[in-house]
Order: sequence, then C-alpha cells, then structure tokens
Amino acid sequence: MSEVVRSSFEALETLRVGLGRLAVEVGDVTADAEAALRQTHAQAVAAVSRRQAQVNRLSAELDQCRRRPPPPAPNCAPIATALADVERSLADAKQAVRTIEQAMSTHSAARARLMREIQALTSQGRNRITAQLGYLAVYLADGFGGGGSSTDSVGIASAIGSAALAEELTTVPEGYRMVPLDLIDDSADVRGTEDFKKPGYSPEDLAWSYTALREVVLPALARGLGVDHFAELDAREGLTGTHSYTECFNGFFSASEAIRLNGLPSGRYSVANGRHRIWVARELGLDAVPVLDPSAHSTSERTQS
Amino acid sequence: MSALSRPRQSLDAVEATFKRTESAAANQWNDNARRSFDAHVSQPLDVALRQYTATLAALDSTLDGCLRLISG
Repeated sequence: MSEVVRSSFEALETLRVGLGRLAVEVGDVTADAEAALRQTHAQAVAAVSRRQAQVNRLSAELDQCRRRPPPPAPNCAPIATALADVERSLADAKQAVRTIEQAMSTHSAARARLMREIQALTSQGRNRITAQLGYLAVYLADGFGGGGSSTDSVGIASAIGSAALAEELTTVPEGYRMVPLDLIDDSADVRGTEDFKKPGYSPEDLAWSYTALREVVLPALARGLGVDHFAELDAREGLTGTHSYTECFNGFFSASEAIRLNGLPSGRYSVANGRHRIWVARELGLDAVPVLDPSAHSTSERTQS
Repeated sequence: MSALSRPRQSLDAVEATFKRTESAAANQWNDNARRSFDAHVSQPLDVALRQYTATLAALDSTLDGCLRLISG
C-alpha cells in the first residue's frame, strides 16, 4: 500500500512541478517569439532606410543629369530605370514593415491571451493536485486508508521530502472527523457549476479553501494555533472574505457553517449542510472531507426531536 | 530556417515534456479526479497551446513573405 501511495505522491508532485514549469517555459517561448518578431521588424526598418537612401541618391543623380546642358543631350534613362527599381523595392520594404507591425500586434494579443489562460489553468491544476496530495495524506492519517496509519503517512510524506505534508498529517479538531466521500450520498441540489450562485463561493473559491485548509489551517491547528493566528496571517498577506484563512477555518470548523451530515439506516450519509463544498471536493477528486462529527450531530438531532 | 522556427520548436518540446509528465501521473488519480483534471485543466491547456501554435505558424508564414520583400 505505502509503495503504491508513495508512487502516487511522487507522480502527482512531479506533475505539480511540471505545471509550474510549463507556465514558465511557455512564457519563455512567447518572449522568444516576440524577440524574433522585433528582430524581423528591425531588419525591415533597416531595409526601408537603406532603400530610401538609394532613392535619395538616384533622385539627386537624375536631377543633376537632367540639368546638364547639351550638347551632347544627356542620357538619363539608365538612372531613371534604376530609380524606378529602387522605388519599387522601397515600397515593398515599407509594406513589409506594415505587415510585420500587424503581425506583432496579432502576436501580442495571442501571447497575452495564452499567458492569461496558462496562468489560470496551471494555477487551478496545481491547486487540484495540492488538494489531492493533501487529502490523500489526511485520509490515510485519519484511518480511512484501508490499513494506512499516521506513521505510514508521515513516512510517505518524508519520502517525498515534503515537510509541510508531514506536518499536516494530523487529525481535525475535536468534534470533527474526516468522512470518506464514498459514504456521502450525492445531493440533487448541486449538479454543476451553474448551481453556484452565491458571490464569493464559486467552485474556484471553494477549491482555494480546500488548498488553504490543507496547506495552512490543518498544519496550524496541529501546532495548537487558532483563529488569532489565522487573523494575523490574513492581515500579513492581505487576505479577506472567502479567500482568507479565518473564513476557511470558520467555514470548516464552526458548528453553524461546518459540513454536517445525517446518518442513514444504510450506514451512509446524506448532506445536511455543505452540498456545494462536497460537490467541489468530488470535482477535486478528494477522498474525504472534514465534517462536524456525524454521530454527535445525529445524537444532537435525536435529543432535540 | 524561418523567423519563428526556434520558438515553434521550443513550444513543441515544452508540450511534449509536459505530456510525458501528465501521462506518468495519469494512473495516480482516482477516476473522478482524473476526469475532472482532464476536463478542467488538461484539455483547456491543450486547446490554448494549439491555438497559439496555429497563430505562430500563420505569423511565421507571414514573416517569410516579408523577408522575401526585404531581401536583396
């Protein structure tokens, strides 16, 4: 099991690094293309300048020739022919400059579009992989790994050289537990991205929260830090609203906002609160999510009813 | 050698390297995560890179014509 998991970690970690490298290397390629366009433009401008000088010289020669008094009658035809040739090549060079300037403009727009898309997609890809790696680790640490244990998981994390991952391998706060998504029934209310209408809670926003949970919140909780620490980090990093560690902590670990499940007679769970987060977790390919302890919740519900 | 042949070759190499990395990781996801990653990351990346590749090819052809105009 741990060999398989280690191999998964390594391959996914390599892919995460590969996505970062892709963004950088594509950026280099586009810069290279822009430099090639600038160089070609400079060649064309130089050609215009050279040919303009030839036109000026031949025009002056022709002028001189025509002013020469007969006899004999001056033969200016060869100069006029040469001038006409150079004027045509000057027009060609000017046309080349205009075409290259259009090409530069086309490339500039294509480059900007590509880099916007590449940055967004590689960032999203890295978040997905980070979440996948983190949740695999937490999943194992929490005992849902079919034989995995905290010791194994720490060993795996160490094997891939990720101190942050090793640090993260802790259980969630008291009163909460990781529940495998396989045990949670799908909600009919959330079927796709079109069901995310609340501002600040898009699938990307919630994916950010899962990454923050994995990379910052759970490791901090494991060190005994709490909401003051998250507020301090938010202030330092300028984070607010749903893209803040405080909101991430409150969202997952306060009784009113936490994911809550209802136990079903079959042993599975239906979702009482957190349908959108569970949908995103499935999209991210996570194995488990932190929920207010389902047994405590159902006990509480039974007591209330 | 055309004006944009070097960036075009580099782009091909960058894409090929990434595809190899992606293939190596393909079996390490669970099915849902892999499908989702493909749909939301791999395929849009592929489309974006193909569009830019096509743009570079068209621009390269345009530049060839311009270089002919200024040669000699």
